[in-house]
Amino acid sequence: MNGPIPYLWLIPLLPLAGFAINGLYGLITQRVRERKPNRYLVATLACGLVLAAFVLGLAACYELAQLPAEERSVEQLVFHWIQGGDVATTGYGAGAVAPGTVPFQVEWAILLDPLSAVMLLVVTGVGLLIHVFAIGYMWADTGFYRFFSYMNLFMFAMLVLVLGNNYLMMFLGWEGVGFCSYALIGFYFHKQSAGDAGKKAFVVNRVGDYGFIVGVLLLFATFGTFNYGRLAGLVKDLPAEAHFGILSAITLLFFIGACGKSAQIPLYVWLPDAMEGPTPVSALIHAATMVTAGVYMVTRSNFLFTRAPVSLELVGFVGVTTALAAALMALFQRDIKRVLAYSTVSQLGYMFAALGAAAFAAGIMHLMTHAFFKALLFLGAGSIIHALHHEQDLQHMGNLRRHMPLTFATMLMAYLAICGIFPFSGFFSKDEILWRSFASGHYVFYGIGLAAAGLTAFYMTRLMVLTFFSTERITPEAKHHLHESPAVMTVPLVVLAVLSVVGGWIGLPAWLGANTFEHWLEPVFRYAIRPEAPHFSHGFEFAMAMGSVAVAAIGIGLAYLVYQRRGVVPDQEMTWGRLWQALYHKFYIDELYDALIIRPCKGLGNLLAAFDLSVIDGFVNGTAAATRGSATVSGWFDKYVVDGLVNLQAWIVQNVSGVLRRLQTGVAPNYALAIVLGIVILSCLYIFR
Amino acid sequence: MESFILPLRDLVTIAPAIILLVWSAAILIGLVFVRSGRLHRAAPFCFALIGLALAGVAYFQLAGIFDSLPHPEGVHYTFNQMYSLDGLTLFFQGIFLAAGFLVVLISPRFLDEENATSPEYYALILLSVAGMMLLAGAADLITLYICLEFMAISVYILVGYLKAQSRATEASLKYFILGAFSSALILFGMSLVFALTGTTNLEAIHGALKTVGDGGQPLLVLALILFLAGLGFKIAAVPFHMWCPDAYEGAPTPITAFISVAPKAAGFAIFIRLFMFLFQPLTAEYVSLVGLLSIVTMTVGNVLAVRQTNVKRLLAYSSISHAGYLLMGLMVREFLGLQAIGVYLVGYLFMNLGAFAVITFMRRERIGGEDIEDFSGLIHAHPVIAAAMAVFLLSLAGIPPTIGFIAKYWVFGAVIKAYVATMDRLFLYVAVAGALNAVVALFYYFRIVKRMFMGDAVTRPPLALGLPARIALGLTLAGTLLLGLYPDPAIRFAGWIHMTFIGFY
Repeated sequence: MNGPIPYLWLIPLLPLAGFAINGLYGLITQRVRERKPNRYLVATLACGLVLAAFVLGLAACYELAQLPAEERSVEQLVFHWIQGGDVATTGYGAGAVAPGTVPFQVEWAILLDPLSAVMLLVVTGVGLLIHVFAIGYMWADTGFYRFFSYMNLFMFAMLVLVLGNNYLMMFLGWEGVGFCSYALIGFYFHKQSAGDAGKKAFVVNRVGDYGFIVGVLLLFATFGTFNYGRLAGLVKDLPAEAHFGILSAITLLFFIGACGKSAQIPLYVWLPDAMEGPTPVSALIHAATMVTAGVYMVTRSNFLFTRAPVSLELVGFVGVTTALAAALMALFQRDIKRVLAYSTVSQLGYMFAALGAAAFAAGIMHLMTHAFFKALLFLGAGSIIHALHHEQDLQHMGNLRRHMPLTFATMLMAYLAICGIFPFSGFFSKDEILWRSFASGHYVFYGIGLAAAGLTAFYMTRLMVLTFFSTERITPEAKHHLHESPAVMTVPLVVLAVLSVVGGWIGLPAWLGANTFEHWLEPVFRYAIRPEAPHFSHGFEFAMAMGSVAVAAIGIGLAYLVYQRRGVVPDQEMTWGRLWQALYHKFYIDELYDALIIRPCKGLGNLLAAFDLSVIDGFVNGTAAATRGSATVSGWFDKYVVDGLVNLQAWIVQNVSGVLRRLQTGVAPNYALAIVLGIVILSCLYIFR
Repeated sequence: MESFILPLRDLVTIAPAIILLVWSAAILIGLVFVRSGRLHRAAPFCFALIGLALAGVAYFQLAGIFDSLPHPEGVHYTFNQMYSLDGLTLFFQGIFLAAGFLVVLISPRFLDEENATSPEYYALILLSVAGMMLLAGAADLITLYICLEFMAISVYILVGYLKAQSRATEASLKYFILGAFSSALILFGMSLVFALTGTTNLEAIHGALKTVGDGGQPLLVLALILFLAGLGFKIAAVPFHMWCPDAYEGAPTPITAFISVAPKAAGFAIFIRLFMFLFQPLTAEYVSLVGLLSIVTMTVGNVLAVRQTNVKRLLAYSSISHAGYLLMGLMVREFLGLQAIGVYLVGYLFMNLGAFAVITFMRRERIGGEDIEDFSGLIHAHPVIAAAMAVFLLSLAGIPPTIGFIAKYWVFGAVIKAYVATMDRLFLYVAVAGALNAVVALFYYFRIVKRMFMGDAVTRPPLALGLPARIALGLTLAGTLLLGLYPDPAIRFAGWIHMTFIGFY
């Protein structure tokens, strides 16, 4: 293969090979030969190929870093994917991008630049750890091979999403991860709720995907290319749109897609239900990687979004709103995974808030640190659930730190990171977002973000206290089996814990050092229009950071008082009245959607059915009465005229088919006759034209 | 006269065909001496494979040279303009060799099952492939006719190879008589062209026709109609298709597979060359006649396929309708149409041979394997074969991600594009008829799929595939699926066809 990094094309293909081999091997062994697939083989292959992809990714990123900063954008054409006919494009503005006809051509090409390098390492690195963890978690499951082949397929799709050099490849990956998410949410398909959750995720995502593909096609119809580099070249000299123009429309449609995939208001409802899937799936797909696809997409499209201020403001607004609303919904959830799910929605909101303030690097950095600590929180929760034999209710946990010290210690790191305590990774990334919001003049965003940070600290403390401290409320039967998880599960936890601590140190704030992470990503945003940020002193920035730590400390303190000092347990929360009701039931949003969208749709169906039943059937019944009246007349009519006609028709069909059959009698001269007739007919057509 | 001395260069250009001819003679002569035992059964098969492999090596050498030419476009004459080694020739030779190779692979077990001797069988396959390979490059009406008969006679014999079966001999005889009839029509057409231009050389005819005035037009149209009829017979276009179901049903199944692909492709090779050279002055008549033939062919083929219960017959009718789709490409005489034919033929080669290969495997002991009931519940006994068959049928129906979809996409694309360019309504009608027919086709292909996957499992003797059969199945399956996912090689290969005619339109 060509290009300075010749093995790039191989990276997405490795997990795809794992999917194909494991899938076929497992299917044939289990279904055809009716034996159990060898789990050691399946696990080694699945993890080995992801490891290989990770190692190749590391090597590729190392080579990328060796290049001078302005050349860090390596494209490798693998093959020409789609070659279609000419398409007329409308062009943009008054001659800024000229209209014309371009061939509909799409390449399968890999793009490695600082942004996709970060995504590549996060996806393969965290993916590898979760794969290893899943060996232990899924060991006893009969669908072991199925699980790993889906996981590998997911890795393939996700890598296509982040490594493609054009929007159509991104869309392919986008749909691919969507499918894998659906398949893995419904992994326990014999459970009704799991199947329903899978369907819900798929349908809600469909809404977003529709927006995305329409946006992509509108983009092509306007500019005539899907390629990021070429698009950036086309728009780089354009000013930002003063009013709602075509770029605003495209970016808005993109953002609808991002809302679906990244679970933002109003399309977030599928993510909490997605927790029906196995916990490693929640960690990999619904926390660390897939749900961040929307953040990646907006960041990748920075040169478009920054030219559409309307859309960008909306991104930020939806982001902070989601951050706050989801944090509120997380407050009193009882299912440990649901708390984490709402927390994920909330943290994704932060990322979008950062993008809304055009602080793309901050958003991506939070994406990365969040991938570390949220994956760790989910895996830790998985470890607990595994130890308690699938108990997920916080009511039946407590005092687990004595039984599961390693899980506790590692989760503690993630907890401190998500609360934003210095010097854990979450502090740097979250504080960078809040600071950037403030510095760019989005004071409302800043305020809401700060409030959400306090809530985050509260519900995370509640979760930690109720699981690891407080009183022991474990059911006797669960207690009987209670154990720390095996090494295959705890080692990934430890690695992630280390990352959760140190992951933020590559992007230090100005008062502490240099933000190398932002510097690394800088070339990606060279075509974005970004306002000049007003300058603040380091001391002021430091004071702001301490302020956000203080807010977190208040949240932690409150939760500590309520749940540890006063020993409140989830069952007691129920007595807290309306507020608790509204929060526990997530502001009744699901019920609202049910009433506003699902019921009307069903209603329309019922209405049509009712119309069928009353009007049409009534009409039919009415006719029936009339018919009965004239039955005697028609009886006679029937016997002699209708039957006669029907019989005539049958007689004709019979004879025609007889004639047709006779055409194919097998008598050669007849065949020759047909040929001659054909010639005669063709000649006549010419003569009597 | 110096033209009597054949330069070596000329001989090299037909090296693959020469190898096949010599090798088939060697099979016939050599096996006189081996008359018994396992060797007698296995040797001809191995010999045939080696012969095809050698011809393949020669072919790849020529194709490699062709591909590396700085200007491969246009016609490259040899043998005093009697033969041409150009993109069209090489494309079709590739198809014929691949078809011959795959058919040889699926043959041995079937012949064992039927208890038939095999030297002549393989020799005839090699001979007919050689005939087709020469046919693809024929650049003179005389060469063209001789090669056509050369190919056809080998195939007539192959159809009746199982001479103990009355339906085989009957099929063969019918095919032969009607084939002779169609040859007469082609000869008639050729004589009209000769009468108009006074030459049999295609290049010369092409030049001379430019000066033929309106007075000659009716004769030329008559010649066109006669060629359409004669060649329509070879590709089984309605109403010249009547022999097709009988011959397909009567022939040994591997031969059915062979004649459903190779002679049909050969028919299209001549179609393209003749029509590009001969009928330039008749664009309007040409488009309307071929378009009409295309609509009728796919519709009748599909409608008749719906009621069939014999799978071989069903696929016979389906292959008729595929000829209709191929005619769609022929109707567009632009490069896109020619390339679409190429893409379609590559796809058709894999998916149709694959489907027939599976039917071949179904023949065992007392089971004919031809009735649709024989496929009932196949998924339980032989999941891999059933899944492969499903892939082939999906591809024949034109569903992604198979090459069948890509093929239909190209054909439809070519026709729609021609419509946009010329605003001739006929293109639109053909496209609509094609789309409607694709729906009908889904029905009968899925009847087989449904039987295989949802039919009751019946206990039957298991299928025993030999290694060659497995290889053939793997190759056709890989071709059908991989080219569906990554059609670029097929598209570029098909591009060789229109390379020949750059500057013609």
